[in-house]
Amino acid sequence: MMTRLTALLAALLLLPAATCQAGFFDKLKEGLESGELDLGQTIEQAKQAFGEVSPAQEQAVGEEAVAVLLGAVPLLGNDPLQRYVNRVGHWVALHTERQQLPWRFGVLDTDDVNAFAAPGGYIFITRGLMLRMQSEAELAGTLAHETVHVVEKHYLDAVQKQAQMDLAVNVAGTQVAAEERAKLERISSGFRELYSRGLDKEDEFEADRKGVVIAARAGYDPYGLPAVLQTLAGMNPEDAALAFLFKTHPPPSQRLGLLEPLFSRLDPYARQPQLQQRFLRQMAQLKKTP
Amino acid sequence: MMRRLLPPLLALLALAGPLPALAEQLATVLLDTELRAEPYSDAGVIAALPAKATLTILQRQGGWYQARHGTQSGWVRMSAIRMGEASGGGSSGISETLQFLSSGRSGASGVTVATGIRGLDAADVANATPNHQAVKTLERFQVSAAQAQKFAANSRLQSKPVNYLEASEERP
Repeated sequence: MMTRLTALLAALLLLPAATCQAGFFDKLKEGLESGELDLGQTIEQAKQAFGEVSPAQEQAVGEEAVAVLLGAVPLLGNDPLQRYVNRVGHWVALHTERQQLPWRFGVLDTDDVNAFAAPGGYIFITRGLMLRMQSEAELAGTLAHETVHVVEKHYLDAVQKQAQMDLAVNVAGTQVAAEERAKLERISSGFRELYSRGLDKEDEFEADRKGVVIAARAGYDPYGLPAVLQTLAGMNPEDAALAFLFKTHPPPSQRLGLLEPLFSRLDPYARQPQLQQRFLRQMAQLKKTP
Repeated sequence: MMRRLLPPLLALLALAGPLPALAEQLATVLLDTELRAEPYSDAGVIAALPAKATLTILQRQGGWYQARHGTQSGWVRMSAIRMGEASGGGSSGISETLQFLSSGRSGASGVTVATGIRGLDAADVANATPNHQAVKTLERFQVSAAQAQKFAANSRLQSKPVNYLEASEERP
């Protein structure tokens, strides 16, 4: 069901007529800011074109989700590293079916080992996970895994299913009625629960399976993600930095076990760059963070 | 304990000079396999590696790790090993996988109490007060598609058409 919807979405985005897609966002923003746009009508049209949740709604929902995450853990105060992760991540995201999204990436200031996504093109990785990586290919593979959660709308679906909530948020910036505020607050609380519980295992396996391909498409050695899973498998499971990850994800060894039968298909791309030196140079920035 | 601190430490040391590309790490052979002269499945066999043998991992190239076994070194397929030691413990990968192989079920994940690290746990998220101001900060670091493309071009990253892979029928 979801796959069909996504395929439809991808097809729509690829239509020549939809080259105005970027223009659509700009117009929407302009219209919203000037107050000239009939938002109700726009959302209705978008709904018909994109299915249940329009791009503008997805952005609004994503913002609530991110506000929850960043309410729990701050962004790392290291601009060069933040920009580096945005460059790698955006390049990777250009190789998904939703390359037009306004992709935004952030490094979270925690020793915890984890990564998250939010609807609308938000991706987060913790400093603790980056410190355990050895190359840009590993970073790219991990970010690619997260892009799949966005592209396949795993969080959006889950939060909708979980709360059976109506995501038809009216995003009219000019007039956020109390009722709309209440809806956004319900979305917030949905994400508090979803992030602390995690996605379905099958969503994680799908993100692994597609993530390695997206990394290969972006020109990276596709074994970066499996290598990260190996590193996680080799860590002491009693390590407190893993507790949250292990609570919300299938065991790394099981994830590797499901990827391994596919390895022979990745081998044609195995000699693509790992970009180890560039990654390590960027990580030297972390030493400068107090 | 010491080994856990080692990889990040070595990563930092590696920045200071020409050190091993990858931090040394121990791994365990899952099923009987071979140590090969090069990272190819038709490369010459240097030694047979029995299941549960312990290896020292030196570096990775694609789906192969360069590894040391006793006095010999060579290349071993990534899928044939798990990082961590089988005996003497504490590795999630190995205990899990050996349990998985023998029972067909995955073990429970270790959950422990955080001590003295700047951590993040389920409770932090469950009780979070939404911070909308921080969301805006992200725009400062955002890059355009054109900037991302330029970045990739500077590093010889080239787009390739690759199809998604179907889930494997055989479940481990």
